[in-house]
Amino acid sequence: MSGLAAGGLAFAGLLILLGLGVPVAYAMAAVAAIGLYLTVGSSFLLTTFETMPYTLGSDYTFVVVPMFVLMGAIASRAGIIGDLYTAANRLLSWVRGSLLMATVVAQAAFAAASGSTVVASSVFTRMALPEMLRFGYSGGVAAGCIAAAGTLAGLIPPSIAMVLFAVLTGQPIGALLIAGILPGLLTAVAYMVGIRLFLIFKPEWAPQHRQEVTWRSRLTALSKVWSILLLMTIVMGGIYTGLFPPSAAGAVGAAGALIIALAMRRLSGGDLWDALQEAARITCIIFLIVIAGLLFSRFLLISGFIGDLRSFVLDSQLGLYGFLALTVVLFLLLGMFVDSVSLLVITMPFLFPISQALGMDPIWFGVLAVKLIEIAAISPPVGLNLYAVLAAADGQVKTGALFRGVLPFLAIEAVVLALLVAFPAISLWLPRTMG
Amino acid sequence: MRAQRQIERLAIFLCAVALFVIMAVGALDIVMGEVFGRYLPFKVDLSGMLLAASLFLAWPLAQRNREHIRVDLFLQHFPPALQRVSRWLSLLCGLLVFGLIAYGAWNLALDSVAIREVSAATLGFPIYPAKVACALGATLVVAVLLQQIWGELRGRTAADEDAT
Repeated sequence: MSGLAAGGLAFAGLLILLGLGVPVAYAMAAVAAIGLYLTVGSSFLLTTFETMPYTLGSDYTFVVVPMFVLMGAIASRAGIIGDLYTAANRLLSWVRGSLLMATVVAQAAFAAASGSTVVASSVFTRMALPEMLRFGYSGGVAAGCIAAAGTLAGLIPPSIAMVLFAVLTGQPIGALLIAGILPGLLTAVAYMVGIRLFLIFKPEWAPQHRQEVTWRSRLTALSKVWSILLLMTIVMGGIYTGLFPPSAAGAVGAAGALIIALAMRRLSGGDLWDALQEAARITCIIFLIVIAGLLFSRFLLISGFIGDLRSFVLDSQLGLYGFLALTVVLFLLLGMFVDSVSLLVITMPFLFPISQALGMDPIWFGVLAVKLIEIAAISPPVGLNLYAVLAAADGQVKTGALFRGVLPFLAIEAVVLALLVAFPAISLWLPRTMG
Repeated sequence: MRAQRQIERLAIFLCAVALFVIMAVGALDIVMGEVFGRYLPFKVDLSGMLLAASLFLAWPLAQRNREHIRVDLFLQHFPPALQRVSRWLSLLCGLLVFGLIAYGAWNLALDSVAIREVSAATLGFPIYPAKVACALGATLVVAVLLQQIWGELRGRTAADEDAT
């Protein structure tokens, strides 16, 4: 059997299992196990299952994953999100659509302390959505804005998605994390500009409202966000200057968040315990998917699928932009049904080698891949962030209204994606200046 | 059953403690290195070992609560018979995967115990307890899966299991 046929069968089996609701990690690992057994026999299969899970799990480089999750869990329990939203709201109170813009700014700032898009989306829904509805904002657009701005955590470090890309492709974690900064900020700015433009044509989405905010209250609110600025400086500064490796940045960031929260007297022993347990639960789920993805990847390599597919793509003379166009279509289609992490794990084993064969910069491809999975996270009908918002909205927004409300933000995302493709320097300039 | 639940709770407790130690050691290492010029020689080995142990020990509870990510878009529209097929496939795939992981983990653990494996760092500390913890964690997942299969055979739902 040719590599393409073997891989095709494996993908068909995987999609059937996923469609039947089998957990993504189990489906990928089971297909990989059967594939490895049929391709190279039981001895190799048993050795692979003996070595890979422990080797991956005990690799110090990946300590950064639970530490970044823990950092976000502590920061959100310490009420940092509330401080950010209040400060952004008071600073932007004079602009039309100020609550939408404050949501974007506060989510961008919170993204610097948390790598999880879902956490940001659900917490902001509870905080910002009732406020926007109270002032007569369109519920769908407000909820769509929260879901879309939640994806900023995928690009702005510490980004779990970037770390996973690094794990799956063997690329440097530090360079990938730093590479996400400018695209993340660009996305935030594009959201702000987009919101302003949309409100010119659709003023009913955000009625003008007067909030009496004094400069004193603005300064008071700003003084409370020093903690997030400090965390941002510690984590990004440490990685960028080379003061410490990304693996250590996670531990330093989590410890920093803990010390700040304790200093502000906003974290009880119970909160810390909950944060540790949450980090343990999320990490074990993510790692099982990554282990399964690497097993699946090994099968695809051994079966000859990756080699055959690479030859096929190169022979078909698609070229770099043709390949990128197909990648976008693939992510949009799969993203409708599969969550972000699984999407990355399923596609990278075959997309990354092809991107390298076509001469793409791996860091640039990483940024584009993460941007695409974040777009998938807000693409109806399955975008993970959309469901995080719906779950936290407690019926304040209908599913259909949210799906319509997120469309303007998907349009903005398309523009940002086009900019990232057209100008690789947006992704590559900062990592190239790293210490 | 009750004893097993207590073991699972103990496992998640150890997991949380391991993560706290990883955080403390990682941060202390940077402070020691930058301030006193002396990095902790055991940081890499200790953190890696604790991470592996915490992952394996957290998996049983994740399976008990059926928290693994799945595509549930179509699930709610399935007829009851297909939903049952879905549950069986999930459990059997899980059993295959964790059966293999547990087999491999015990091989690693027994080899490690046989040589009383210690870390290669300057301050050599035993690694084999962590590998045994990994094997126990994987075995616990298999036990949880077998219980859930038994529950499925008896026609019990996840909610029934939670109630016990």
